[in-house]
Amino acid sequence: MLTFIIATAIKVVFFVVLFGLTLSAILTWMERRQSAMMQDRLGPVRANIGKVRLWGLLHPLADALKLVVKEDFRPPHAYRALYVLAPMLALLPALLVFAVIPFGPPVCIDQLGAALADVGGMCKPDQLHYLQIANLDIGLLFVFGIASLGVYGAVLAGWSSNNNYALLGGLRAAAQMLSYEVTMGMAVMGIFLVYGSLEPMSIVEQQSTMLDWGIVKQPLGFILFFFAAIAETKRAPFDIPEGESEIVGYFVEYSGTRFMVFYLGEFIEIVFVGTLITTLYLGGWQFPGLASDGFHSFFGFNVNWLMPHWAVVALQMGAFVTKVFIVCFFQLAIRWTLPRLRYDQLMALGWKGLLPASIFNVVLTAAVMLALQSVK
Amino acid sequence: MDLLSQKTPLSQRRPFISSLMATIALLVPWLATSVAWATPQAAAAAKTAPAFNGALWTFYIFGALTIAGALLTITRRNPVTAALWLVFTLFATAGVYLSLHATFMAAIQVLVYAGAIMVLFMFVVMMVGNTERQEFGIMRGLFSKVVALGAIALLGWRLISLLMRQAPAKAAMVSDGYGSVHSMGGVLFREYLFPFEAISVLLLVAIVGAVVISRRSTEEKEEV
Repeated sequence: MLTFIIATAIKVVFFVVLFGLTLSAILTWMERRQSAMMQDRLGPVRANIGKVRLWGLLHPLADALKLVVKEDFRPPHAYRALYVLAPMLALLPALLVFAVIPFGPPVCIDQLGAALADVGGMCKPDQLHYLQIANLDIGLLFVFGIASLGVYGAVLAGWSSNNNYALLGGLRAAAQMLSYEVTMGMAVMGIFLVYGSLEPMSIVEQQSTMLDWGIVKQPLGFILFFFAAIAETKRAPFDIPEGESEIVGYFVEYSGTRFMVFYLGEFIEIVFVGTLITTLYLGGWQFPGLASDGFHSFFGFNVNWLMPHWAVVALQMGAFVTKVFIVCFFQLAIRWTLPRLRYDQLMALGWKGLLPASIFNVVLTAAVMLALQSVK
Repeated sequence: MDLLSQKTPLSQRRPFISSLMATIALLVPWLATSVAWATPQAAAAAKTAPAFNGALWTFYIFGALTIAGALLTITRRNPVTAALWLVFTLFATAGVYLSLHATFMAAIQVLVYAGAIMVLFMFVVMMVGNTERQEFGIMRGLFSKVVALGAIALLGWRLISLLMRQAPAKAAMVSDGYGSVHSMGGVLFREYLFPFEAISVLLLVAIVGAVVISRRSTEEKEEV
């Protein structure tokens, strides 16, 4: 019991705090740098501690410090309890969903130096640790259940602020997130059918070669899921709930730390979408060609490079982080590539375009699976 | 500013005492029932299991949260707050499902009820605006009191009859993988395939009907 608590605490600190929060802080800087480059300016490069400048990577720290010491303004006649609760409700689901994402392979603690061909079989059960905070039978259903609660943060922020523009932003957020949640669920059904499991760990383990990756087996599902996920995180081109530059969104009345929580929550959601897409469609922590005891084939050549367990684990965790980073980078780049959708275009795309396509994807996948089974 | 005047003056809030009384009145029979049901099982389990029965306490905690949330839902005057407490109640119900090993039911409860249906509720409540001081016509006065009394009588009778019954001496064991996605899917698509499909057709008809009704009303508006 004690081991379990300590192991879980270490995983939470490593995965959610060190990985999730740090990466989302870096992403805020990356987004500002990227937009600056698109607009032919330098962007945030000047924050420094003494001589240490790090290309402006200290800007997230400076931003956080600025927002924390700012005045915490509450609009008059705001509904106090819900106004305070709304940012927390926006942040909490974004953090909770990390619980079921596997960020590395099973680790055998007492045989880190040996080359293990079969980690599950060669390791004593009490030494075997899964690099995943909670391995649930319902796995991805937990993710979608918790993620579907994220909309309350936006809706309640809009309603409790006592501001008509905030209220309208909250209503836009609710309509958009509900519409695209359906597509997201339908798109991921194809993955459930192909891998026959709801557990992320099992899905990742089945993507051992690059031809088994979800993006290869479910190309249409991947595109639909990616679109819907960007809409769920309310990012451009689906950012009409916020529309920070022109129209006014649901958090218009928020300032200081409470605004920071909304802002941070959005970037944590970007990281979360990155981890989810990596897990479902890009092979999770699998390193192309790397088996659990080293390389047996390397880009088509037959080799026999045995590696100790710790090196394999490190390579696979590095592969996971790299993949997540690439997906996050892609999400940021989309913002400055595509113009924002109008409200009616958004609804038409969601209900008349993506949803029928996702249903078609499920039917097609099921038909192909059935045909393959009857051939065998 | 009808949309936004959501503050309730203190004087108009329902008296605290009455909701407290209602809480006690409902909590006591519930606790009595669960103790009467649980004690023989707990005693039987205590011989093999450790003294602390986690599953039982999970059930107690989430059951109490469910009842508290339900009471807060029906005593709030502000529709948005009431809807939020209903979300809380549905969440706590998912916890009760978890304590009964029904993991799939729990996930679907959160996903569908708390995450989708209640968001639509909130959406409508916000669009309609402030209904705090609205009189509900026939639902006010004598009629609603008779209905409420009937409901309380029915519930009380069920509770008392439950209390009178003997709890089973030995609880049946659930099978391996009970309540998991796999077993739920097997039951739904093998044993109950026809009812399942019939319900989905019914829901489809309801959706199409809703679309037809809403389209007709917009066309009429345009003609005027």
